[in-house]
Amino acid sequence: MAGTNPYIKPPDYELPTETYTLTVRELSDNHTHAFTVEPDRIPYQRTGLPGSILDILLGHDMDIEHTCGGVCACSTCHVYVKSGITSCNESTDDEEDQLDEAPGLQPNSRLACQCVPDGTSPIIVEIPAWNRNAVKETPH
Amino acid sequence: MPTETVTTAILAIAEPAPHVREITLARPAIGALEFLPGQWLSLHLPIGDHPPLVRAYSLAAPPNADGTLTICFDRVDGGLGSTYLFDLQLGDAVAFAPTALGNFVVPTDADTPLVLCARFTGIVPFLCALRALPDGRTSPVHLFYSGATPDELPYRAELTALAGRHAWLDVHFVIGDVDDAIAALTQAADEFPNGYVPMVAGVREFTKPVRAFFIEGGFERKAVKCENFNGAG
Repeated sequence: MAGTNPYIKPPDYELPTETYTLTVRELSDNHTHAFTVEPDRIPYQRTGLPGSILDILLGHDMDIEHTCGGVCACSTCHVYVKSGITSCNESTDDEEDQLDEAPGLQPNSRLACQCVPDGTSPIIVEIPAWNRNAVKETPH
Repeated sequence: MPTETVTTAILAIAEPAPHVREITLARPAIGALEFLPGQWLSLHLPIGDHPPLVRAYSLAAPPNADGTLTICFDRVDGGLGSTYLFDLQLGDAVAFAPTALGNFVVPTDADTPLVLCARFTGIVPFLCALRALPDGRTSPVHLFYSGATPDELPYRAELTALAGRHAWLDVHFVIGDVDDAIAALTQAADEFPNGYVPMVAGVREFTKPVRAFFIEGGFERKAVKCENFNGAG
């Protein structure tokens, strides 16, 4: 993996211009965390699309699995967007390909590294129980 | 809760092309990892604002008796991970998840005909497979390997030697842009009808049009396996 990308195109998503709330529920223990996303702080760090759910969570020291480094090459950052999905960018074919490999797929499944809310509504996501501290992809 | 990792030392460093680094890691204390050609390691690097910085690097050599692990990557301008790795020296420690990952697995059975398309360091997962394929293989493998310059074709000499040794391996080197790579595929398209497994690795601006080429040629989208490399570095 990794590689030089001299042809990178502008991303096809809109970043928030106003603060919004990202609420995260961990299905492993039902703990809930709420974060205020501040547009000026995006990107919060250097993993996942800037402003993605993964970017925001890691930026708030909430470690969820992302074995490929947030480049849409695995499905370990799989989350469910329970509310606010219409304010998120549309998933790409590449993301759908990776989600095909994810356990527990639901219509509201997204990869946290690719899902970028535009901030026009609060977001609520759930982290599947198997995500936490579980490197468990298998080849097929 | 931090993800479990194992740590091993760097045993060897090679430079198969300018700005490309191959690192061989010692066998982990937990034992040799099982993996398949095309899979990658998830490295946990002690850098960045919120370490560890997690980055994935394809394995360049198949499993071996020593249990060593070889990864290969290029230096990405401004890339935290690749810049850090380029500065490591022999004996330095590297931490990674204790399992190989990824579903981009290159079939190494004797019966599956393959058409492999790589750009620059996208060659790494295919190199791993080609190093593992048996001498007695009968099904053909067509490799289309492109780069913008000759320096973007690491392992070119090794691949040329492999093609000279194996009648089943046909290697096309293409120096040029993505359109040139597709033109080379177009010229040879009659050689890989449906029934071949097409696999594509490289930056998304390469994999996307190459995948489209195969779909236009009659392959189902899901039948064209892609591994997208990313500039996060």
